[in-house]
Amino acid sequence: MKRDENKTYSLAVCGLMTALAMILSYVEFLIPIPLPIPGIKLGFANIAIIVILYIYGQKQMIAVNIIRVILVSILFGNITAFIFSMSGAILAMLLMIILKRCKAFSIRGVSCAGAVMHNLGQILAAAFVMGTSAIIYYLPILIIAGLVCGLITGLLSSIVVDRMSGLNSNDGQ
Amino acid sequence: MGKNKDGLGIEKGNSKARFKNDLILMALILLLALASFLFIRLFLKKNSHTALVKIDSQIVKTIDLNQDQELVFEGYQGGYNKLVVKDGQIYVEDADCRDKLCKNQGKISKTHETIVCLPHRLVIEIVEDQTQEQEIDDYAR
Repeated sequence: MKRDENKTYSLAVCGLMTALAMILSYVEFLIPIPLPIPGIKLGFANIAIIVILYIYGQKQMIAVNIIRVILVSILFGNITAFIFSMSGAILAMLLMIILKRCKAFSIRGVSCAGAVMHNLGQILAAAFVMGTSAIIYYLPILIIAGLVCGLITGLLSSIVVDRMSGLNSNDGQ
Repeated sequence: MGKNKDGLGIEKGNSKARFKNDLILMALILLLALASFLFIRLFLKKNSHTALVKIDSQIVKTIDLNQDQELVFEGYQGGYNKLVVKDGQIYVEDADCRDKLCKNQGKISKTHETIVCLPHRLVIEIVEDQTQEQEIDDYAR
C-alpha cells in the first residue's frame, strides 16, 4: 500500500473528510425533526465516517470521527452534547469495525448497526449523566430511528464508496 | 473489483449472501426494539394514581386517579376539554377542538403515558406517585 507510506496524502484526505463530516453535522443541525424525542438525528456525518472507513481504513476513521465530535461540540454544542455524542461515536465505531472485519455484511448493514449503536451509546450516557433511568423509555423508538436513518445513510455511503473506489482502484473492500 | 459491482459498492459474487445477512441483522435490530419495548411495557411502566394537567406548559392541576371525577379545563385561548377519571384511569371524554385527537388517545394510567391536545395546549401526564422515600429525596436536595 503506497498510500500508507505517503503521509501527506493521508493527512490531506483525513483533513478533507473531517471538514466534510463537520459540514454534514452542521447541515443536520439545521434540519429540524418534527418528533418530540431527544437524540433523533439523521446522522449525515455517518456518511463521511463510513466512506473513510471503507476507502481508507479504521485508523483514519477513528481519528476523523473523534476530531469531528470534539470540533462539532465546541462549535455548536456544549459539554453534555459532547459526552453524549462521544460515547455514541465510540460504541458505533467499535461495532462498525467488528462488523466490517467479519465481512459478512454490506455497507448498509454496517451503517444500520452503527447508527443503532450510536443511539444506544447516547442513551446510556444520558441515563448516566442525568442519573435517571426514565430516559430508557425512549429506547425502542431510538432503535427504530437508528435503523431507518442507518439504512438511508448506508445506501448513500455505498453509492459514494462505489464512486470513490473508482478513483482509487486498489482500495475499498 | 472495478467491474464486478452491482452499483452499490458490493461485489457481485457474495452480494446476495451479504444482502441476506443485512436483512438478518436488521431483523435482529427490530427484534431488539420490540424486546426493549415489551420489557419497558411489562416491567418498568408502573401503575400510578397521579396525573398532572398542564396548559401551555404550566401545571394547573394534580389529579388523584383514585377518586372518580369529571373535570372541565379551559384550553389556551379558549375551548374546553372534559376529562373523566374512572377506575384509576383518566381520559378525555369531550372537547371542542378541531381534530378530537385527544379523545382518540384513549385511557391512560401508567407512568409516562400522556394525552396531548395540541390546539388547546393541554397535556395530561401520568407521573409516579410521590412515595415517602421520594419526598425524603426531594427534601434532601
